[in-house]
Amino acid sequence: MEPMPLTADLFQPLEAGAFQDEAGLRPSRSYWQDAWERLKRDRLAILGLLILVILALLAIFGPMLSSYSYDGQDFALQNQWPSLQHWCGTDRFGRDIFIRVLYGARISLSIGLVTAIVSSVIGVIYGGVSGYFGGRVDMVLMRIVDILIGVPSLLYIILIMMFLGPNLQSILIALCLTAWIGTARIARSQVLTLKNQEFSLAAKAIGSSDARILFRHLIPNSIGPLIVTVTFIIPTAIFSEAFLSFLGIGIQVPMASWGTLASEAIPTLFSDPYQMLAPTFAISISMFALNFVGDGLRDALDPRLKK
Amino acid sequence: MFGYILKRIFAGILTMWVLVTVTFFLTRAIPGGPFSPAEERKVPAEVLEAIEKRYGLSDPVPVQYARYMNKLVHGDLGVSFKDLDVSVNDIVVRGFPVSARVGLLALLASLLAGIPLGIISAVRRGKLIDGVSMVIATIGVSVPSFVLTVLMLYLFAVVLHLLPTMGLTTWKHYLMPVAGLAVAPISYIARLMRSSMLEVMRQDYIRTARAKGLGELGVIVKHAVQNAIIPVVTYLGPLIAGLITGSFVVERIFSIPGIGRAYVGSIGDRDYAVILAMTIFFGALVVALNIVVDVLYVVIDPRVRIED
Amino acid sequence: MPLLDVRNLRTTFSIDAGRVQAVRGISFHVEKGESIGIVGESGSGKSVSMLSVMRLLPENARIEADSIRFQDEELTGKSDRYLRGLHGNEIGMVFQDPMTSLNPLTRVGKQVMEPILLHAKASRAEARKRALGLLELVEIPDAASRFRQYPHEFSGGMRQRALIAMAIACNPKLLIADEPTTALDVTIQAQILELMTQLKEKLDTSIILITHNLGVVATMCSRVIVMYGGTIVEQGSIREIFRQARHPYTWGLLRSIPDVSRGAGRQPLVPIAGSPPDLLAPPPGCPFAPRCTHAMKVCALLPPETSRLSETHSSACWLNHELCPDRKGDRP
Repeated sequence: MEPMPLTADLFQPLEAGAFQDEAGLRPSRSYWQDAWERLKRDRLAILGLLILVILALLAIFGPMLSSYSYDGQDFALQNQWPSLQHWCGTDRFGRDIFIRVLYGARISLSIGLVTAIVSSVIGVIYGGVSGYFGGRVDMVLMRIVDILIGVPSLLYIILIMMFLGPNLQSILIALCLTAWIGTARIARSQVLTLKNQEFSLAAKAIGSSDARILFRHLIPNSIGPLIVTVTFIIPTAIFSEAFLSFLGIGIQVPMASWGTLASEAIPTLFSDPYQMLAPTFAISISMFALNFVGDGLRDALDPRLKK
Repeated sequence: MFGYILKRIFAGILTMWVLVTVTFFLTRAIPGGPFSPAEERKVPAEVLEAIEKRYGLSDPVPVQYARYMNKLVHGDLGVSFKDLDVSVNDIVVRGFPVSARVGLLALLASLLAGIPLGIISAVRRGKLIDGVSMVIATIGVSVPSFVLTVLMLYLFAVVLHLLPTMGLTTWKHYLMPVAGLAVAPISYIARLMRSSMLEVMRQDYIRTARAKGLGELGVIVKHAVQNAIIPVVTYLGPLIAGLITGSFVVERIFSIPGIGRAYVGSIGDRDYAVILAMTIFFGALVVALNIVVDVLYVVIDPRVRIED
Repeated sequence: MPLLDVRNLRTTFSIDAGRVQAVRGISFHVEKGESIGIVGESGSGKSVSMLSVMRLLPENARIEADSIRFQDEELTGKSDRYLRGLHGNEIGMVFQDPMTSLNPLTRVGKQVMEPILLHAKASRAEARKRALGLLELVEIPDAASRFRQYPHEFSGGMRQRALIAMAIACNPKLLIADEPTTALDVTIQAQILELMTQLKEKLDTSIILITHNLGVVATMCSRVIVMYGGTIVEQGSIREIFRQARHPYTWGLLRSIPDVSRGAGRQPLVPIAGSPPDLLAPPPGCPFAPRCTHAMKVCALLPPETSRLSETHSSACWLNHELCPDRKGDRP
């Protein structure tokens, strides 16, 4: 491009407004829209969500659509390798493994969900109260938390299950009673932050537009870490249940959770290895999916990462 | 610093006391257990009497509690219900060294493999080694360790016939149990170390080090790693707890005669005395090791020391 | 022969959204024993240009220059290793935030020893002695016991002194100070600047002082470089810049200094309206044009030529061009 020749008229003053207003090159979005945009772009997280949805649908509707039932023993069909009639083969009682895995999905997924919800409620209340009242109350409540953390929660879970007997309800109770601590701490720190803003809140309440801004930014910022923590409770709960059932301490036969299915497959591992595949695959893929979604949520909701 | 140690020890004792008390009262309340009224128990009368006498079960509860606490403080963990000749102390003494060996190896492996992996991934961020390591690490933290252990067992013992499946007689026997225990921690530590290194390398004092003329290696070794490793030290506590719970599964799969297997067995047998005692033992172990980790943390990070 | 001679330095960063043109072709030089100031607002490229000369930028930066000569050695083709030999040795650098510029886990004395051990091939004992002496030189009280302390036990001002000690540890010919006092209290600021002046005289070091504060420049430097939008808009001696500035941005800067000496007549502080240019897609023409009250048509179309107004004074502004009517180059 040849240099432009300089002429006298170029040295005339520029009209006002000749430059476009560059203010706000990027449209401002609300915190949630931002987060949603970021989440959508995280392909692993979306994949994870998809997997979870498929799993849930399979778990809910699968057994209804199949002719097999989870405890239909048929000794003629013992220990069959996967085939068209039995996608995952059959176990030593002749039960269809695929269906049992689907039932297991119901159990494991609902354990995860229920634990997450209930323990978060407990945690938020506990942490919220502790943070809100502060002082002695806070100190005592947090002291209790410190003591509870000192011992691996699995030990407490096993104790509780001894007390309540090994069944679905007791696992749920045991899990809920131990999983709330993480949420309690987060809830407490968020409440403390909110409390510190209170003075400015009160002052600005008169000029309420500022108060609205505070609410639009404070609350989303507080809920973010909370959501992430709660999301990660689900895989932990599923893992704990699988772990316990695997050890024989959890859900008992003939009810099928993924953990019990894996445990049942061990004695015949060498002769019928396929029996281990389905439940372990199910566990693994749901863990993957949940971890991806959790990671994605954490990245999406982190306000520092605004690009 | 000394005051800090004392504080932590006191907190640990408090935690243990809570654990012991909770455990004690919970096991008493178990339906069908040895402490419940005679009608509930389905055990022949002579055995009942022997148990009652041995345990003083007819004494009022506070007395039993006091007696139990007294025994504990003297290091007596009681005896098994199933076999009155077997004392829990024996079980522990027999099984702990075995579990400890495997556990320590797993701990070493976790640190020696996880930390360098994390550092390399961070320094070579975006390159192939980073991608590969992180994929493997994600698998390691997502897939439950007992699943991976079983798959490993299947691959190496059944398919390839390379490694033995049970016991701990030769060094080959140690490979899979240790691997099974260490896979998840290695993955977690690698990821943790990686993100910690990335965070540290962005810090101003790294720029200062470079401005002094330090090369990449010098910066990493002399400034970055020591700062980046702090979160890993914090993780040591949960790591130890994880190794203990992991041992339950690994010892079962590989038939290793450690305390993990004894513990799981006692649960299956509903041998409440053993369960009670071993819960307390594990709890004490974790609490003690956590105190060590806390002290280690204070030693490493001078900023925390001002408290006293 | 100047100590440092930079010709047409250009630095870009690649980010997701494209390439940010942080430094768009600047040329300047520093003589032995002189101290110059580089002023500009945040984003003007003043820090990035010095970090570019030192090659202390992150990996996504691309540094290009026609020539960078230090002590008559051409640096542009040299390896990173060669440059590292200069860092902390012939060229020392002090950064802006003393609170985060020290390794929190290592004792301060040891950190000051580091450049000495690295470049001077001294024994540990010698290095320790010298480092101790340096701490005393930068007037850290009770240097002997401070030597063994950790950074968190130092105040901000003391940390900055320690950082200065580290930068001058090997008697550098050139000291680059990037906003060394911005993060400190005003009283401490004065002390640190005083310290730097003394050191300069004692060690005969050239200083490049980067700052957004023209007042500081006036006290410490003999020459000033004014940067805006990744370019040098004007440079000259103190007198020339403060009394005979020939660029609207410099006029704006000068107007916005609170001047207590003017007495009772309350001069209003006149800020410069507008915001810095988007360096991702810089508009053609002069970077300052959108905010310039004297903008002409040519200013929006072509980047201004640099006019030499004296041996030391130059300005990049179309107002100084011969075709500009009324020769409005003088300060209004």
